[in-house]
Amino acid sequence: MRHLNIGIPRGLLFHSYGEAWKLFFRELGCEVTVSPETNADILKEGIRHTVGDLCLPVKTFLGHAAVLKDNIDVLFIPRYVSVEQESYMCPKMIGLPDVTRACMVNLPPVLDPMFHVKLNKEQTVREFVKPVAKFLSLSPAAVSAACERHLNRHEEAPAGQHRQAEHPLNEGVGRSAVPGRMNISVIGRPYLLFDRHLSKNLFHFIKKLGANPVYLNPDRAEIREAMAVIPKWVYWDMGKEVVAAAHMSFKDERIDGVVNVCSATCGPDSFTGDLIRKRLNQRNKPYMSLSLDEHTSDVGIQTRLEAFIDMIAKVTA
Amino acid sequence: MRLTVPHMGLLSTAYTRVLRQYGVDMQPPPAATVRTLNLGVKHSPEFACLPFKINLGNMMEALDNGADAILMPGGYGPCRFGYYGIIQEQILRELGYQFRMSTTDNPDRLSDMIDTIRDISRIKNRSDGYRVFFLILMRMAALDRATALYHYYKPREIDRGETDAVLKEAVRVIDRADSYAKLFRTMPSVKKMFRSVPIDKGFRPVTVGILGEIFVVIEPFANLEIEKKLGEMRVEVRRGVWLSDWLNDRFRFRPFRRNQTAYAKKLARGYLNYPAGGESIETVGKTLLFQKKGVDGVLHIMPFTCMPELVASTIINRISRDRGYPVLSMTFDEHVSEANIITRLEAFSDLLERRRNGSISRH
Repeated sequence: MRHLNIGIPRGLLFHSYGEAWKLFFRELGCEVTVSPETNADILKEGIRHTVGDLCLPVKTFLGHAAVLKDNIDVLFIPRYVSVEQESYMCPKMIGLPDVTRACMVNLPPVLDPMFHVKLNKEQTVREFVKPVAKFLSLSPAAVSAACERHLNRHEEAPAGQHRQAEHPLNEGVGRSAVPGRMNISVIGRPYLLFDRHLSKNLFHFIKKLGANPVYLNPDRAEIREAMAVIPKWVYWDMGKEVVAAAHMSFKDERIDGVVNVCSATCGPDSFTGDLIRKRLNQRNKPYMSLSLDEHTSDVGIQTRLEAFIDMIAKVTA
Repeated sequence: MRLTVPHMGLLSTAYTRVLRQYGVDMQPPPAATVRTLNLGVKHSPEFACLPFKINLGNMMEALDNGADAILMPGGYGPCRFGYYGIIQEQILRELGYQFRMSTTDNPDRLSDMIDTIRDISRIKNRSDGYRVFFLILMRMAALDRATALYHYYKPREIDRGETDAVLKEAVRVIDRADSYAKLFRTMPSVKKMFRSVPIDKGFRPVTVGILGEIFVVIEPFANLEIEKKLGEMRVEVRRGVWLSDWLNDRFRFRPFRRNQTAYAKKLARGYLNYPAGGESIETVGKTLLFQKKGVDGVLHIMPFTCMPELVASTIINRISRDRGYPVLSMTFDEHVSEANIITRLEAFSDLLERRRNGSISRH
């Protein structure tokens, strides 16, 4: 029997949970196809399918779904409502399966199990497992077991922690500052930072300029610590981590500058950006925010990074 | 303590007089003007949404007028609204304003609302708190009722502008009804006031359902008086989003009115299977409802960068294509111009009119 081919678009939460999803489906005996890394054509395809002023990462996601859709049996677009209690994903992530269906014609079936963390943990898993088990005609118990093993680990690790070790961008990106070098902490959402096309390969460029790019990945305790500094718990999954990463970067003596990468019309980041700039940056560390959209050019980003790094070099010299 | 609360449609009319009776020193912000908007825009984050900016302008003008305390509802939704108060407070403090800020972190919970009322007023007794809160809710419902009558009479009026004058008077009359008894006596007279407007009885106006983000829908300043403009084009407005419905879904003060959110959720199934925050589910569900009910078209309005409504707008665009149903989405921000809005509304209402007369095909 031919295995069912599950298509996963390489966009949005794939950059946080993709490896876990792949393991999950392989364990269930499915084949997994992931769309290739973002390129200009994929982005163009996404923009072509989009109506309205959706943000860059959503457009990119739709592009990935579009290039995948004809070569697979089922499109996997989970509905992540929250990965922690009293938190929410951005509304666009909550509506993602419906948005994808609305934007495209001739879609294969969309498998859209919901992940919504509630007080009752079994219920969270049950909700996620039910549609998957039904679709694959497997027993819920088997799917539950796979889910527990690969997906339901948000308790110990917040969004973004499942990032795979073999991620192409991971090589050369420090997880902590290196003494004696200029350390630039890059904060932002994984789906922007770890998409080489969208982020204009900025990790690489920072390295080329002789600085050490650092990507901090706050754990639960560090997030709690950051939330204690600000007046109200940031209730967006991911937004929260960006704030915590900013807090850690400002606190860490060895970090020389902070770059906040966000997409142009990002709702949560428009607020957390203000919080980071005004509330967390008490010591006035060099801070720059870069907003990306489909018109952003590599050169524009590079010029700003050069200027930023030159400025830090002058100040510290 | 002089307390101010940012404006949202007619809401301040519903509570100001009642709370004043119970010793709250209310200082409502002056009605929003271009200055309000400019103040808000100047100090807000670049991509903050329009309601945030207008609210901030409201707060600044009220503080300039002598208010020294701000009450701002909060929350923990996926929408940004829940975080408004925090960012606004930070901006105002940075500008050097001195004030006390309180937020109700759970505007969905009755007990929190009652505690807030007891906190700011002379009312110490819990049951009095309930009595006052529900009076405010009923007053809001009465104001919405008057607005709905306005929607009906406006496109049919014979003397231009008469219905606007009647609505203004109706709001004044409801405002003066500061007890349950007075409020119940007032409603028949409000209806009579509208009935006395001379109308063109045989005229069947084109109908447009208005949906979208609640602040932009109910605040005429934010939507450049879109309902009045449509009325003047002799288009009847069917509004799908009401503040009293929002309140009723949470506090059940009108037991015979169905829960609109739950209803919309049922209607939206197949297009939007889980609420994406804000009014997204209402927008999708009620677009389908309006089509079923024979409303000629849907006008969907939202602030620029509004996350939940972007989801909804994408989906209702598909509904429009699937079913050949006219839907127009418009985004509002500080750059929107009156001429732009009028042109688009005219084109849309012309389209609906011709479509109804059969001069253009339905698909």
